[in-house]
Amino acid sequence: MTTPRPEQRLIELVVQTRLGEPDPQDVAELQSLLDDPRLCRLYLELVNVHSHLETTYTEHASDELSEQATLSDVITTLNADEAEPIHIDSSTPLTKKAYSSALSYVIEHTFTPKRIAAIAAAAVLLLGAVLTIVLLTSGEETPEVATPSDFTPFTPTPDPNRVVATVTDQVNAQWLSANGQGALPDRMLLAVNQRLTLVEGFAEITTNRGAKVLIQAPATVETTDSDNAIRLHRGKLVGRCETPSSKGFTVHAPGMDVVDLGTV
Amino acid sequence: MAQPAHKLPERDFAKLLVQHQPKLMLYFRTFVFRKSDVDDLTQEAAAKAWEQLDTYDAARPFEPWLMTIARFELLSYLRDHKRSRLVFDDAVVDQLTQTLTQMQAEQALPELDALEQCLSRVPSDDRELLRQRFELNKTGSAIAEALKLSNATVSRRLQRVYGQLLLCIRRVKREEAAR
Repeated sequence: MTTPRPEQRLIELVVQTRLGEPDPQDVAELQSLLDDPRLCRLYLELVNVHSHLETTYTEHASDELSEQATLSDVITTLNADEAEPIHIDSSTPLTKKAYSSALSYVIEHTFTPKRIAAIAAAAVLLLGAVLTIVLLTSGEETPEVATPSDFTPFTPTPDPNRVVATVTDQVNAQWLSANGQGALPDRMLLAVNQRLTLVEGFAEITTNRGAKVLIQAPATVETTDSDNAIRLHRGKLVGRCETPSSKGFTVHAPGMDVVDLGTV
Repeated sequence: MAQPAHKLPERDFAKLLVQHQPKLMLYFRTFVFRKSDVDDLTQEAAAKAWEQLDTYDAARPFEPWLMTIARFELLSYLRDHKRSRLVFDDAVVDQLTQTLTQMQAEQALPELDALEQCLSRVPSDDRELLRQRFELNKTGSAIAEALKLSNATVSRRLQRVYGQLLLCIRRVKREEAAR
Protein backbone atom coordinates (compact mmCIF):
# COMPACT_ATOMS: atom_id res chain seq x y z
CA MET A 1 0.00 0.00 0.00
CA THR A 2 1.45 3.35 -1.01
CA THR A 3 1.47 6.35 1.32
CA PRO A 4 -0.53 9.23 -0.15
CA ARG A 5 1.24 12.51 -0.79
CA PRO A 6 0.72 15.05 2.00
CA GLU A 7 -1.50 17.22 -0.25
CA GLN A 8 -3.69 14.23 -1.05
CA ARG A 9 -3.87 13.21 2.58
CA LEU A 10 -4.78 16.76 3.55
CA ILE A 11 -7.74 16.76 1.15
CA GLU A 12 -8.83 13.38 2.52
CA LEU A 13 -8.72 14.70 6.07
CA VAL A 14 -10.56 17.94 5.29
CA VAL A 15 -13.37 15.93 3.70
CA GLN A 16 -13.32 13.21 6.33
CA THR A 17 -13.39 15.49 9.37
CA ARG A 18 -16.41 17.34 7.99
CA LEU A 19 -18.39 14.39 6.69
CA GLY A 20 -19.81 13.26 10.01
CA GLU A 21 -18.56 13.06 13.56
CA PRO A 22 -14.81 13.80 13.33
CA ASP A 23 -12.32 11.22 14.57
CA PRO A 24 -9.76 12.56 17.10
CA GLN A 25 -7.01 10.63 15.27
CA ASP A 26 -7.86 12.41 12.03
CA VAL A 27 -7.82 15.75 13.83
CA ALA A 28 -4.39 14.96 15.31
CA GLU A 29 -3.03 13.96 11.90
CA LEU A 30 -4.48 17.05 10.29
CA GLN A 31 -2.83 19.13 12.98
CA SER A 32 0.56 17.59 12.31
CA LEU A 33 0.24 18.31 8.57
CA LEU A 34 -0.55 21.97 9.29
CA ASP A 35 2.96 22.49 10.65
CA ASP A 36 3.95 22.85 7.01
CA PRO A 37 3.13 26.47 5.94
CA ARG A 38 2.43 25.32 2.37
CA LEU A 39 -0.12 22.79 3.59
CA CYS A 40 -1.54 25.37 5.96
CA ARG A 41 -2.35 27.57 2.94
CA LEU A 42 -3.85 24.62 1.06
CA TYR A 43 -5.96 23.76 4.10
CA LEU A 44 -7.38 27.29 4.21
CA GLU A 45 -8.20 27.15 0.50
CA LEU A 46 -10.00 23.82 0.96
CA VAL A 47 -11.93 25.02 4.00
CA ASN A 48 -13.00 28.04 1.95
CA VAL A 49 -14.25 25.76 -0.80
CA HIS A 50 -16.12 23.69 1.79
CA SER A 51 -17.62 26.75 3.46
CA HIS A 52 -18.70 28.25 0.13
CA LEU A 53 -20.33 24.93 -0.79
CA GLU A 54 -22.26 25.03 2.47
CA THR A 55 -23.35 28.61 1.79
CA THR A 56 -24.33 27.93 -1.82
CA TYR A 57 -26.31 24.79 -1.13
CA THR A 58 -27.91 26.11 2.06
CA GLU A 59 -29.20 29.12 0.14
CA HIS A 60 -30.50 26.78 -2.53
CA ALA A 61 -32.24 24.60 0.04
CA SER A 62 -33.79 27.68 1.61
CA ASP A 63 -35.09 28.82 -1.81
CA GLU A 64 -36.87 25.52 -2.22
CA LEU A 65 -38.21 25.32 1.29
CA SER A 66 -41.71 26.48 0.54
CA GLU A 67 -42.00 24.14 -2.43
CA GLN A 68 -40.82 21.02 -0.68
CA ALA A 69 -42.09 21.28 2.88
CA THR A 70 -45.73 20.51 3.50
CA LEU A 71 -47.52 22.32 6.28
CA SER A 72 -47.68 19.08 8.21
CA ASP A 73 -43.88 18.63 7.92
CA VAL A 74 -43.30 22.10 9.26
CA ILE A 75 -45.72 21.65 12.17
CA THR A 76 -44.16 18.31 13.08
CA THR A 77 -40.67 19.82 13.06
CA LEU A 78 -41.68 22.79 15.13
CA ASN A 79 -43.67 20.81 17.65
CA ALA A 80 -40.73 18.50 18.20
CA ASP A 81 -38.86 21.37 19.83
CA GLU A 82 -41.54 22.37 22.29
CA ALA A 83 -41.72 21.56 25.96
CA GLU A 84 -43.60 22.71 29.03
CA PRO A 85 -42.10 25.94 30.34
CA ILE A 86 -40.73 26.34 33.82
CA HIS A 87 -40.59 29.66 35.61
CA ILE A 88 -37.45 31.42 36.74
CA ASP A 89 -37.77 33.81 39.62
CA SER A 90 -35.18 35.71 41.55
CA SER A 91 -35.08 38.16 44.39
CA THR A 92 -31.40 39.01 44.05
CA PRO A 93 -30.68 42.49 45.43
CA LEU A 94 -29.95 45.07 42.81
CA THR A 95 -26.42 46.36 42.52
CA LYS A 96 -25.00 49.33 40.69
CA LYS A 97 -22.87 47.00 38.60
CA ALA A 98 -25.91 45.03 37.56
CA TYR A 99 -27.67 48.25 36.56
CA SER A 100 -24.94 49.15 34.14
CA SER A 101 -23.85 45.78 32.89
CA ALA A 102 -26.88 43.79 31.82
CA LEU A 103 -29.11 45.20 29.13
CA SER A 104 -29.76 42.17 27.05
CA TYR A 105 -29.89 38.46 26.99
CA VAL A 106 -29.73 35.65 24.53
CA ILE A 107 -31.90 32.62 24.37
CA GLU A 108 -31.60 29.66 22.08
CA HIS A 109 -33.77 26.68 21.62
CA THR A 110 -31.21 24.03 22.49
CA PHE A 111 -31.06 24.24 26.25
CA THR A 112 -28.20 22.29 27.76
CA PRO A 113 -27.94 22.37 31.57
CA LYS A 114 -24.99 24.75 31.20
CA ARG A 115 -27.02 26.98 28.94
CA ILE A 116 -29.93 27.01 31.36
CA ALA A 117 -27.57 28.07 34.15
CA ALA A 118 -26.17 30.85 31.96
CA ILE A 119 -29.62 32.09 31.06
CA ALA A 120 -30.75 31.94 34.67
CA ALA A 121 -27.72 34.04 35.57
CA ALA A 122 -28.58 36.47 32.79
CA ALA A 123 -32.13 36.67 34.07
CA VAL A 124 -30.83 37.53 37.52
CA LEU A 125 -28.64 40.24 36.06
CA LEU A 126 -31.58 41.58 34.15
CA LEU A 127 -33.22 42.50 37.40
CA GLY A 128 -30.90 45.46 37.33
CA ALA A 129 -31.29 46.46 33.73
CA VAL A 130 -31.26 50.18 33.15
CA LEU A 131 -34.48 51.14 31.50
CA THR A 132 -34.50 53.95 29.00
CA ILE A 133 -37.56 55.78 27.87
CA VAL A 134 -37.80 55.68 24.12
CA LEU A 135 -40.36 57.70 22.23
CA LEU A 136 -41.47 55.54 19.37
CA THR A 137 -42.53 57.43 16.31
CA SER A 138 -45.41 56.00 14.36
CA GLY A 139 -45.41 55.80 10.61
CA GLU A 140 -47.70 57.85 8.41
CA GLU A 141 -49.20 54.91 6.59
CA THR A 142 -51.74 52.53 8.10
CA PRO A 143 -49.94 49.27 8.69
CA GLU A 144 -51.44 45.97 7.67
CA VAL A 145 -52.63 43.47 10.25
CA ALA A 146 -51.14 40.01 10.01
CA THR A 147 -53.76 37.38 9.30
CA PRO A 148 -53.63 33.63 8.93
CA SER A 149 -53.76 33.96 5.17
CA ASP A 150 -50.47 35.84 5.28
CA PHE A 151 -48.72 33.29 7.50
CA THR A 152 -48.71 29.61 8.08
CA PRO A 153 -51.82 29.14 10.22
CA PHE A 154 -50.31 27.29 13.14
CA THR A 155 -52.69 28.83 15.65
CA PRO A 156 -56.42 29.56 15.86
CA THR A 157 -57.51 32.65 13.97
CA PRO A 158 -55.95 35.67 15.67
CA ASP A 159 -58.19 38.59 16.51
CA PRO A 160 -56.95 41.55 14.41
CA ASN A 161 -58.28 43.96 17.05
CA ARG A 162 -55.94 42.55 19.66
CA VAL A 163 -52.66 43.70 18.24
CA VAL A 164 -49.80 43.11 20.66
CA ALA A 165 -46.63 43.76 18.66
CA THR A 166 -45.19 45.16 15.45
CA VAL A 167 -42.48 43.97 13.10
CA THR A 168 -40.50 47.19 13.36
CA ASP A 169 -37.52 46.41 11.20
CA GLN A 170 -36.36 43.81 8.71
CA VAL A 171 -33.10 43.19 6.93
CA ASN A 172 -33.11 40.65 4.12
CA ALA A 173 -36.00 39.02 5.94
CA GLN A 174 -37.87 36.15 4.30
CA TRP A 175 -40.81 34.65 6.16
CA LEU A 176 -42.55 31.34 5.74
CA SER A 177 -46.25 31.76 5.17
CA ALA A 178 -49.20 29.85 3.81
CA ASN A 179 -48.39 31.42 0.45
CA GLY A 180 -44.78 30.32 0.41
CA GLN A 181 -41.75 32.36 1.27
CA GLY A 182 -41.53 36.11 1.06
CA ALA A 183 -41.08 39.50 2.66
CA LEU A 184 -43.55 41.16 5.02
CA PRO A 185 -44.74 44.74 4.63
CA ASP A 186 -42.94 47.30 6.79
CA ARG A 187 -44.39 47.84 10.25
CA MET A 188 -46.61 44.78 10.08
CA LEU A 189 -48.89 44.60 13.11
CA LEU A 190 -49.08 41.29 14.91
CA ALA A 191 -52.23 40.11 16.65
CA VAL A 192 -52.32 37.68 19.58
CA ASN A 193 -51.06 34.15 19.01
CA GLN A 194 -49.52 34.98 15.66
CA ARG A 195 -46.82 32.51 14.80
CA LEU A 196 -44.03 33.52 12.44
CA THR A 197 -41.16 31.64 10.90
CA LEU A 198 -38.20 33.69 9.74
CA VAL A 199 -36.36 31.73 7.08
CA GLU A 200 -33.67 34.25 6.21
CA GLY A 201 -32.26 37.51 7.51
CA PHE A 202 -33.00 39.50 10.64
CA ALA A 203 -36.09 41.14 12.03
CA GLU A 204 -36.95 43.31 14.96
CA ILE A 205 -40.26 42.90 16.76
CA THR A 206 -41.44 45.52 19.24
CA THR A 207 -44.20 44.72 21.69
CA ASN A 208 -46.87 47.32 22.36
CA ARG A 209 -45.23 47.98 25.72
CA GLY A 210 -41.89 48.77 24.06
CA ALA A 211 -39.75 45.68 24.56
CA LYS A 212 -37.69 44.94 21.48
CA VAL A 213 -36.42 41.59 20.26
CA LEU A 214 -34.04 41.03 17.40
CA ILE A 215 -34.47 37.61 15.84
CA GLN A 216 -32.11 35.92 13.49
CA ALA A 217 -33.11 33.26 10.94
CA PRO A 218 -33.80 30.44 11.21
CA ALA A 219 -36.27 31.12 13.97
CA THR A 220 -39.92 30.69 14.87
CA VAL A 221 -41.57 33.07 17.30
CA GLU A 222 -45.14 33.60 18.38
CA THR A 223 -46.96 36.45 20.02
CA THR A 224 -48.96 35.54 23.10
CA ASP A 225 -52.13 36.99 24.55
CA SER A 226 -49.98 39.52 26.40
CA ASP A 227 -48.57 42.69 24.88
CA ASN A 228 -45.42 42.22 26.94
CA ALA A 229 -44.29 38.73 26.07
CA ILE A 230 -43.13 36.65 23.17
CA ARG A 231 -42.73 32.94 22.69
CA LEU A 232 -39.61 31.54 21.06
CA HIS A 233 -40.14 28.12 19.50
CA ARG A 234 -36.91 27.75 17.57
CA GLY A 235 -33.83 29.82 16.95
CA LYS A 236 -32.31 32.65 18.83
CA LEU A 237 -33.23 36.14 19.87
CA VAL A 238 -31.77 39.06 21.71
CA GLY A 239 -34.14 41.17 23.75
CA ARG A 240 -34.02 44.67 25.14
CA CYS A 241 -36.41 46.17 27.59
CA GLU A 242 -36.48 49.78 26.45
CA THR A 243 -39.44 51.41 28.17
CA PRO A 244 -40.63 51.48 31.78
CA SER A 245 -43.91 49.91 30.74
CA SER A 246 -42.09 46.90 29.38
CA LYS A 247 -40.89 45.96 32.86
CA GLY A 248 -41.75 42.29 33.28
CA PHE A 249 -41.26 41.51 29.60
CA THR A 250 -41.19 37.73 29.32
CA VAL A 251 -39.69 35.41 26.76
CA HIS A 252 -41.32 31.99 26.88
CA ALA A 253 -38.97 29.38 25.48
CA PRO A 254 -38.93 25.58 25.44
CA GLY A 255 -38.16 24.47 28.96
CA MET A 256 -38.26 27.89 30.61
CA ASP A 257 -39.53 31.44 30.80
CA VAL A 258 -37.20 34.38 31.25
CA VAL A 259 -38.70 37.46 32.85
CA ASP A 260 -37.09 40.87 32.69
CA LEU A 261 -38.31 42.68 35.78
CA GLY A 262 -36.45 45.85 34.86
CA THR A 263 -35.60 48.52 37.39
CA VAL A 264 -37.59 48.05 40.56
CA MET B 1 -16.99 52.68 29.62
CA ALA B 2 -16.79 55.78 27.40
CA GLN B 3 -19.44 55.93 24.72
CA PRO B 4 -18.17 56.15 21.12
CA ALA B 5 -18.46 59.49 19.37
CA HIS B 6 -20.24 57.96 16.37
CA LYS B 7 -23.04 55.53 17.15
CA LEU B 8 -24.24 53.06 14.55
CA PRO B 9 -28.02 52.90 14.07
CA GLU B 10 -29.35 49.39 14.72
CA ARG B 11 -30.74 49.08 11.22
CA ASP B 12 -27.31 49.76 9.72
CA PHE B 13 -25.84 47.28 12.15
CA ALA B 14 -28.17 44.52 10.97
CA LYS B 15 -27.21 45.27 7.36
CA LEU B 16 -23.52 45.10 8.18
CA LEU B 17 -24.05 41.88 10.06
CA VAL B 18 -25.82 40.24 7.12
CA GLN B 19 -23.01 41.41 4.85
CA HIS B 20 -20.33 39.95 7.13
CA GLN B 21 -22.09 36.74 8.08
CA PRO B 22 -20.37 34.56 5.43
CA LYS B 23 -17.00 35.83 6.64
CA LEU B 24 -17.89 34.99 10.23
CA MET B 25 -18.94 31.48 9.23
CA LEU B 26 -15.82 31.02 7.18
CA TYR B 27 -13.68 32.11 10.09
CA PHE B 28 -15.28 29.65 12.49
CA ARG B 29 -15.26 26.92 9.83
CA THR B 30 -11.47 27.15 9.71
CA PHE B 31 -11.16 25.95 13.28
CA VAL B 32 -14.37 24.06 14.03
CA PHE B 33 -15.40 20.75 12.51
CA ARG B 34 -19.07 20.41 13.43
CA LYS B 35 -21.43 22.49 11.29
CA SER B 36 -23.88 22.87 14.17
CA ASP B 37 -21.09 24.34 16.32
CA VAL B 38 -20.17 26.75 13.51
CA ASP B 39 -23.80 27.89 13.29
CA ASP B 40 -23.98 28.36 17.05
CA LEU B 41 -20.74 30.32 17.15
CA THR B 42 -21.90 32.55 14.30
CA GLN B 43 -25.16 33.30 16.08
CA GLU B 44 -23.40 33.85 19.41
CA ALA B 45 -20.95 36.29 17.82
CA ALA B 46 -23.81 38.16 16.12
CA ALA B 47 -25.74 38.35 19.38
CA LYS B 48 -22.67 39.51 21.33
CA ALA B 49 -22.01 42.18 18.71
CA TRP B 50 -25.57 43.45 19.09
CA GLU B 51 -25.23 43.45 22.87
CA GLN B 52 -22.00 45.45 22.60
CA LEU B 53 -23.18 47.78 19.87
CA ASP B 54 -22.93 50.74 22.24
CA THR B 55 -19.16 50.22 22.33
CA TYR B 56 -18.72 50.34 18.55
CA ASP B 57 -17.49 53.59 17.06
CA ALA B 58 -19.12 53.91 13.64
CA ALA B 59 -16.24 56.08 12.44
CA ARG B 60 -14.04 52.98 12.52
CA PRO B 61 -14.20 49.92 10.22
CA PHE B 62 -16.84 47.40 11.23
CA GLU B 63 -15.07 44.21 10.22
CA PRO B 64 -12.10 44.33 12.64
CA TRP B 65 -14.48 45.12 15.50
CA LEU B 66 -16.76 42.20 14.61
CA MET B 67 -13.87 39.81 14.06
CA THR B 68 -12.43 40.67 17.46
CA ILE B 69 -15.71 39.59 19.02
CA ALA B 70 -15.61 36.46 16.85
CA ARG B 71 -12.09 35.67 17.98
CA PHE B 72 -13.09 35.84 21.65
CA GLU B 73 -16.04 33.54 20.94
CA LEU B 74 -13.72 31.11 19.17
CA LEU B 75 -11.16 31.13 21.98
CA SER B 76 -13.88 30.43 24.50
CA TYR B 77 -15.15 27.54 22.36
CA LEU B 78 -11.65 26.11 21.95
CA ARG B 79 -11.05 26.35 25.69
CA ASP B 80 -14.33 24.58 26.46
CA HIS B 81 -13.61 21.77 23.97
CA LYS B 82 -9.93 21.26 24.66
CA ARG B 83 -10.44 17.89 26.32
CA SER B 84 -12.48 16.49 23.44
CA ARG B 85 -9.36 16.21 21.23
CA LEU B 86 -11.54 17.57 18.42
CA VAL B 87 -9.95 20.99 18.36
CA PHE B 88 -6.54 22.22 17.24
CA ASP B 89 -3.91 23.14 19.80
CA ASP B 90 -2.97 26.77 20.42
CA ALA B 91 0.12 26.75 18.19
CA VAL B 92 -1.86 25.52 15.16
CA VAL B 93 -4.66 28.00 15.86
CA ASP B 94 -2.09 30.80 15.90
CA GLN B 95 -0.47 29.60 12.70
CA LEU B 96 -3.82 29.27 10.94
CA THR B 97 -4.91 32.70 12.16
CA GLN B 98 -1.72 34.34 10.86
CA THR B 99 -1.91 32.52 7.52
CA LEU B 100 -5.60 33.37 7.17
CA THR B 101 -4.91 37.08 7.77
CA GLN B 102 -2.06 36.99 5.26
CA MET B 103 -4.12 35.20 2.59
CA GLN B 104 -7.02 37.61 3.08
CA ALA B 105 -4.65 40.53 2.58
CA GLU B 106 -3.28 38.89 -0.57
CA GLN B 107 -6.84 38.09 -1.72
CA ALA B 108 -5.58 34.56 -2.16
CA LEU B 109 -8.61 32.73 -0.80
CA PRO B 110 -11.23 31.17 -3.08
CA GLU B 111 -14.19 33.43 -3.71
CA LEU B 112 -17.83 32.48 -3.86
CA ASP B 113 -18.34 33.84 -7.40
CA ALA B 114 -15.53 31.67 -8.71
CA LEU B 115 -16.93 28.62 -6.97
CA GLU B 116 -20.33 29.22 -8.54
CA GLN B 117 -18.74 29.39 -11.99
CA CYS B 118 -16.86 26.18 -11.34
CA LEU B 119 -19.85 24.33 -9.94
CA SER B 120 -21.56 24.58 -13.31
CA ARG B 121 -18.72 22.49 -14.75
CA VAL B 122 -19.06 19.68 -12.20
CA PRO B 123 -20.53 16.48 -13.75
CA SER B 124 -24.14 15.79 -12.78
CA ASP B 125 -23.27 12.68 -10.72
CA ASP B 126 -20.91 14.71 -8.59
CA ARG B 127 -23.39 17.56 -8.31
CA GLU B 128 -25.88 15.06 -6.89
CA LEU B 129 -23.23 14.00 -4.39
CA LEU B 130 -22.76 17.65 -3.35
CA ARG B 131 -26.52 18.14 -3.13
CA GLN B 132 -26.83 15.13 -0.84
CA ARG B 133 -23.99 16.37 1.31
CA PHE B 134 -24.78 20.07 1.58
CA GLU B 135 -28.38 20.70 0.59
CA LEU B 136 -29.79 17.63 2.33
CA ASN B 137 -27.10 17.83 5.02
CA LYS B 138 -26.41 14.08 4.98
CA THR B 139 -23.48 12.31 6.56
CA GLY B 140 -21.12 10.13 4.52
CA SER B 141 -22.89 6.91 5.44
CA ALA B 142 -26.34 8.38 4.70
CA ILE B 143 -25.13 9.51 1.26
CA ALA B 144 -23.64 6.08 0.63
CA GLU B 145 -26.97 4.47 1.44
CA ALA B 146 -28.96 6.92 -0.68
CA LEU B 147 -26.70 6.60 -3.73
CA LYS B 148 -25.95 2.89 -3.19
CA LEU B 149 -22.22 3.46 -2.91
CA SER B 150 -19.66 2.42 -0.33
CA ASN B 151 -18.57 4.91 2.33
CA ALA B 152 -15.06 4.88 0.88
CA THR B 153 -16.36 5.71 -2.61
CA VAL B 154 -18.38 8.65 -1.29
CA SER B 155 -15.33 9.99 0.52
CA ARG B 156 -13.02 9.49 -2.51
CA ARG B 157 -15.45 11.16 -4.89
CA LEU B 158 -15.90 14.13 -2.58
CA GLN B 159 -12.13 14.48 -2.29
CA ARG B 160 -11.84 14.49 -6.08
CA VAL B 161 -14.59 17.13 -6.39
CA TYR B 162 -12.91 19.36 -3.79
CA GLY B 163 -9.58 19.05 -5.58
CA GLN B 164 -11.13 19.77 -8.99
CA LEU B 165 -13.10 22.73 -7.66
CA LEU B 166 -10.01 24.21 -6.08
CA LEU B 167 -8.02 23.90 -9.30
CA CYS B 168 -10.87 25.43 -11.28
CA ILE B 169 -11.22 28.33 -8.82
CA ARG B 170 -7.48 29.05 -9.05
CA ARG B 171 -7.75 29.03 -12.85
CA VAL B 172 -10.74 31.42 -12.82
CA LYS B 173 -8.81 33.71 -10.52
CA ARG B 174 -5.76 33.68 -12.79
CA GLU B 175 -7.92 34.39 -15.85
CA GLU B 176 -9.61 37.31 -14.08
CA ALA B 177 -6.26 38.70 -12.99
CA ALA B 178 -4.96 38.49 -16.58
CA ARG B 179 -7.87 40.56 -17.96
